[in-house]
Amino acid sequence: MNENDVYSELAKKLGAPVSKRFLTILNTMVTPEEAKICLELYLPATCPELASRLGVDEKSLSEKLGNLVDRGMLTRGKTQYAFHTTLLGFHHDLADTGVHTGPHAISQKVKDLWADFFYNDWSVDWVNMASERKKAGGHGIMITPAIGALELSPNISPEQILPQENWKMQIKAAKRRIVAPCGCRTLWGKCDHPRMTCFACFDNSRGEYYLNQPGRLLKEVSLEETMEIVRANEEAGLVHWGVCYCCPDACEMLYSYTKANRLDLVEPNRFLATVNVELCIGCQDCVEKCPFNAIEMRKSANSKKLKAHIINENCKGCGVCIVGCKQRALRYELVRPPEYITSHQFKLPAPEPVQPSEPGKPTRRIVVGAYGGFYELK
Amino acid sequence: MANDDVYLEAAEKLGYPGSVSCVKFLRVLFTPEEGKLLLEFIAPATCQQVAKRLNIDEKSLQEKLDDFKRRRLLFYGKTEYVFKFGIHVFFARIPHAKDEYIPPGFWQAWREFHPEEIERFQRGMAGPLDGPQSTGVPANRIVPYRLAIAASPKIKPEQVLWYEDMAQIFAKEEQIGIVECPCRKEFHNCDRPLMTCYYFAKHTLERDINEYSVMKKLSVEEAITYSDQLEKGGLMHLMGNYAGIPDYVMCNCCECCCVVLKPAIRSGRLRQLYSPSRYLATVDTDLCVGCQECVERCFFNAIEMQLTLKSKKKKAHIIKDYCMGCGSCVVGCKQKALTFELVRPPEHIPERPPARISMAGMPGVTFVREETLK
Repeated sequence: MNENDVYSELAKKLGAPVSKRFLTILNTMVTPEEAKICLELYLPATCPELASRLGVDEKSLSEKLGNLVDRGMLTRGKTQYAFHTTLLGFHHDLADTGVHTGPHAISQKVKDLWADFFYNDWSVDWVNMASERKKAGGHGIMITPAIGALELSPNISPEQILPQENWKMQIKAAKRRIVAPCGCRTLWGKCDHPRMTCFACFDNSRGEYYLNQPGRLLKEVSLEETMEIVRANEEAGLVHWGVCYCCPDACEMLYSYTKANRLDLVEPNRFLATVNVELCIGCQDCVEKCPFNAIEMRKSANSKKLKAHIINENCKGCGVCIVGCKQRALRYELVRPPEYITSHQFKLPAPEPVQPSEPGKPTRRIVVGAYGGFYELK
Repeated sequence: MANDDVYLEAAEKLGYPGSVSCVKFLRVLFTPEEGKLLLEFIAPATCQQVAKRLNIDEKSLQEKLDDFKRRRLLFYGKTEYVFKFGIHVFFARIPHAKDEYIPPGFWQAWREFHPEEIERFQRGMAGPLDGPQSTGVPANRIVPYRLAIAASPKIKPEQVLWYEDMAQIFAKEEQIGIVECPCRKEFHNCDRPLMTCYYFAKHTLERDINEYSVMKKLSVEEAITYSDQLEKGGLMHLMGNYAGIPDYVMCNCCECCCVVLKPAIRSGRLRQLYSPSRYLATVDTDLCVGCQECVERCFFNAIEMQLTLKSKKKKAHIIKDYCMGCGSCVVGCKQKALTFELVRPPEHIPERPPARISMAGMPGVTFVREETLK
C-alpha cells in the first residue's frame, strides 16, 4: 500500500467525501506509519492486542496511541482505542474535546486546511446528505426554542412547553455540566461569535474523560454559570440545536444550508416569532440577527419607518430576534400542536446493513456516536 | 350696512370672498363696528387721516388703535396703520397677543377655517403665484442647520456664506425676539420645541416686546442656543430667498403642524415655494446602522432604506432630487453616518430680496414689512 492509498483508505472509513483537500489534512496530521496504526484500529483494540498484532513494543506503541488521541486522530475508552467511524466524530474530537495548548495543540496550518476543506467541499456534502435524508422521508434538524424568547412570551404558559423543548429544565435536571469550545468556530470559523458556547456533557459520557486532560479547553460549570453562558449565547444570536450553539458563519449544517440557499433543510419548531408593529422602532437588529432570512422590513401605516415583518414560512422559531429586540416588540406564538414534535423530529433513515468490504475480513460492529465516545468503547 | 356685510367685505379684502368659515373666524376677532373701522385701514393710513375722514375725535381713535395693536389686528409703522395682510397673518399674529387680548373662541374658529385655507392652498387657488414665484424662483429658502455644517468635515468654514450661517445671521440682527409657534401650539401634532418663531423687525420690536405682545427678547447667544435646540428637535429654518438676513420673521417649521409647510409638502408644490440650501446630505453606508432615525426626521421623504451588498440591514439612501439640504438627518444621526456636501454655487441664492416677500410662501398672502410703513 503506497502512502496516498493509506490516506484514501482512512478517508473512506470515515465516509468522507472524495476530496483532495481532505487527503491533504490527513497527510499533514499524520505520517503514513501513524495512518497505518489508525487503519489497524478501525476495529477497536487494546494496546497489548495491537502490539502483539503488529509485533511491536507495547510501551512505545502506548506512547504513540496516546499521542494520536491527543491529536484527535483516535478516540479511546478505558482500555480500547479506535479510529473514528464518522467524519463528524473526527472533526469534533479534534476540535471540541481536542488539544488546544501545549505540544499537541492543533496548528494554525491544520485549522486552515480544515477551513479550506469545509468551506469548499464538506459543506456541499452536508447539503447533499440532508437532501437525501429528506427525500428518504427523514427530517432535518429542529432548532430548540431560546430560553430567553420563551421567557419573553408571557402568552405561552409553561405547561405548553414540552420537555424536549424545555432546554432550561434539561439544564437544571443535569447532574454535571461541561462546556466546550464550538468545534466549528474553533477549527475554521472566521466570525466574531463567542467560542466557549457548546456543551460536551449533560449526564452523558462525552467530555468527562477529557475534562482534566492537559491542553483541553473543557470546563465543568455550575448551573448558574451554565445559564449565564446560555444567555450570552442567545444574546449573541446563536441558535441552539442538540448541545450546540450554532451560527450561519461556521456551523457544519447552518453554514452549508445557508450557502446553498437550502434553509428548508431545517425543520421549523412549534414556535413562531411575531412582531408588535406599534412597539417596533425599525432598528433592523432582528433582520441582522435572523439566521433564516425570515424578517424583512416593510412599510407600515402611521410611520415613515419601515417595520419588521416576519416571513412565516422562513421562521424556524429559534427566538434569536425575540431575545435581541431591545424594544421587546417581538414574542413567540405557539403555532403547532404537540404531535408535531414527534412526527417531525430529527431522524436519520434506517442505516443499510454494513457489508464486509472483503470476504473474510471483519467489519466494525461498534458504531461510535457522532461525537466519538469514550464510554462506547471498553 | 348689515352686520354680516362688514365681515363679508373684510373676508373679500383679505382674499377669501364668500367664505362662510372665514366670516365666522373674523366675527370672533372683532365687532361689526370695529370691522368698519379696520376696513378704513385697508390702504395704509395714519390715525390723523382716518379721524379726519370719518370726522371723529383723533384721541379716541388713537385709543381704539392702541387696543387693536394689543389685539394684534393691525400692522403699524411709526405713524401708519394697515389692515390688509391676508387671513394667515392673523393666525400667525394674534396668538402672540397677551392672553387677555386673545378673543374667546379664537382657536376653535381658526380650526374650523383652517382646512378650507389648506384646501385652497393645495389647489393653488389661494391667489396667483405673484412676485418672485412667477419667475420660477422660490420665495423662500431653507437655511442649513448650523450644527449640520459643524458636523461635516468636508465643509470648510470659508465655503459657508455668512447668510447661511445661523450664528452670523443672528449677529447681524439689531433686535431678536422670540415667540411660541402658533401652528405647533394649536395643532400640537408633534412634541418639537415651541419657542421657535424669531422676530427681527427693528421699528416695532421694542414696542412689541414690552407692550403689545408676549414676545421675549433674546441676545445673540441666546438666539443661537434656541436655534441649536430646535435643530436637534428637527425644525426647518425658513427665510426669504435672498442673500441676507431675515428682516421680519424667521419661521422654524415642522411638516406636521405648520399651516404652510405641511400643505406645501402634501400638495407637491414644495420646490416652487422653497429653495433648497446649497448643501446635500450624504450617507456613509459603512457607518449607517439602519436605525431609520433619519427617515423619521426627514420632512421631504428624501431618505429611503435600501439593500446594500455588505449587510442584511437596509441602509439609508438619499434621494438627491428630494433632499432640501436642511441638515436635520445629519444632526439626528447618532452614528455620524450622515454629513453635508456642498453641491450648489453661491449664485444659487438670489442676491436681492424679491420685490415682495411672500409670507412664508403662502400664495396670495403678501407680507408687507412694517418698516415700509411710515
